[in-house]
Amino acid sequence: MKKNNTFDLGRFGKYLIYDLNNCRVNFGISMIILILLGIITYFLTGISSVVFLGKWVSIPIMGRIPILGLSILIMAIAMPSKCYGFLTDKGLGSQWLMLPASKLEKFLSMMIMTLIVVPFLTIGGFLLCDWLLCIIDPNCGQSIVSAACNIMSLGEIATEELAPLFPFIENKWILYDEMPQMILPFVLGAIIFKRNKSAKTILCLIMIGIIFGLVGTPLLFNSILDGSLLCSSDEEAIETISSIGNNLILVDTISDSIINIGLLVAIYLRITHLKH
Amino acid sequence: MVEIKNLGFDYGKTPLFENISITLTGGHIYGLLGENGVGKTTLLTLLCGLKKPKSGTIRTDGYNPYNREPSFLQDQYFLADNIPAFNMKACDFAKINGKFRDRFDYEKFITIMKEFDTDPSFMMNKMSYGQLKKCYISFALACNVKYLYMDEPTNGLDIPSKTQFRSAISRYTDEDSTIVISTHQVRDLENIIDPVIILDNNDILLNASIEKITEKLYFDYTYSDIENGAKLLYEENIAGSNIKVMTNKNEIESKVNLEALFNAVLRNKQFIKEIFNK
Repeated sequence: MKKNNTFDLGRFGKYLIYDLNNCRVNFGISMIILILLGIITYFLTGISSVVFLGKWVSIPIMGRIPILGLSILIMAIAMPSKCYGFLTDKGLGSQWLMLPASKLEKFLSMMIMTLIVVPFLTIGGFLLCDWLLCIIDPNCGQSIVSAACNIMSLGEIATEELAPLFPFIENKWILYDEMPQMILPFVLGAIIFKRNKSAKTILCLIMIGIIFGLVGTPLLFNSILDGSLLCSSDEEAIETISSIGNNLILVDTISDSIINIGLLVAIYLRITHLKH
Repeated sequence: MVEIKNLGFDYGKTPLFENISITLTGGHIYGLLGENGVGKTTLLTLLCGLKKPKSGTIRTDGYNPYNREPSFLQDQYFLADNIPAFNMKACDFAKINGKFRDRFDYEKFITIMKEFDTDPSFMMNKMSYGQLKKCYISFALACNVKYLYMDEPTNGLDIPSKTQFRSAISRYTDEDSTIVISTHQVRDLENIIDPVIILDNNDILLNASIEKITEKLYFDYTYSDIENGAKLLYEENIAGSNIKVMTNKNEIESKVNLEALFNAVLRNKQFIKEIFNK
């Protein structure tokens, strides 16, 4: 039976397994280290506190959350170049291009790996370790997972009262569009730059940030704030803050979505036009 | 069948090919020869879709190689000179990559690896360059592809392996497959290459079968004088052995020496084009 040249489920399944194995080989050990980062930090802090203070000090939740953030940041920066940086290498990249799978299948698999599989395994693994750590050592206090659950239940109660002031409580999409925005530039950088992929991507992001900051900030302040906050009463101020919040969330969600779609298109086009 | 029509390609301001047209048909092992930098590797990468032509077209069984469609890639294998060493066993590499190829024969891979005296359970990143090359050659042949492009396949192979390579190419390729081998080591492949393509800057100097070459040119390995009316194109006299390449006036058959042919073609570019285009 003739297979579809754009997408074939059987072939895509094979390629996904191939890609999963490739990510395991290239990023597996790094991912384990990132998962264990909380535990590693826990022991390092404990040992150094025994040495310098004479007693074991456990890291509270407020100390472990930044470690989770650091773990996610390192994953977002390092994973794309480790998993897909070989695409710009003449030998490895040629092998990859000549693999009989369609461009769409290769692209979809890359997105599944970079946006779903690796982040969920890394974050999930980290949270699981954190939860286990909190069970073993009660001095650590609440685990990040249970704290997050508490905040979410609090959020539900608070939503009705705080919604006019903080509309983003209701906007759950904001939670989902930040992760791709963090990872996708590094995926693009990994398949564009030949060397120093992460560093060059960070430099590009800084430059883009400066340009948008210089152009965007005055526009944003002129169009949204319009100086109206300065001469309003308390009630009007709350209303204005609420509308600004609404506008900012809307602008942020739309701009994030546009950026994400733009990055996805750029990655797809890069895969399509890759030459060796 | 591969049809190249008015192919143009350049690296920036340096043109590599201009209006090249050539047809490659099945059942042949094409030898792609040329000096350094004339574009042998580039031509192979264009044929398998790793590069995009700047002008003209390439069609392989109707496919545009640059589109790299899976059904096109199923029939292609490009063995580059620059081969990666993966952190895995050779047999695992074959299993993992072979899954994507409908006609891949794992038993054939193991057989060829054994003929090359290379252990398939050996880690690729622990292999010598020659062993790695043999692993890739075995995989390429086990893929049973219709179009096999090889860039300097005998580079890094020891003397027995070169013999085994010639034998493997003859035994393990389909009769209707098209094989293009780019090489500088012409002596390694002298008996298996037919036809011969000699590339020059921007152009193809020669594209002819061995039969046609022997029809037009005579290779004299003796010290005898040049026949009346024959034109001497190249003569080499090294360490007591002599070889002359001349026009074949009396239509006498002779054994082609690829190295001498290559030198004769390079020294008589216009003349060779004229006599082969007649």
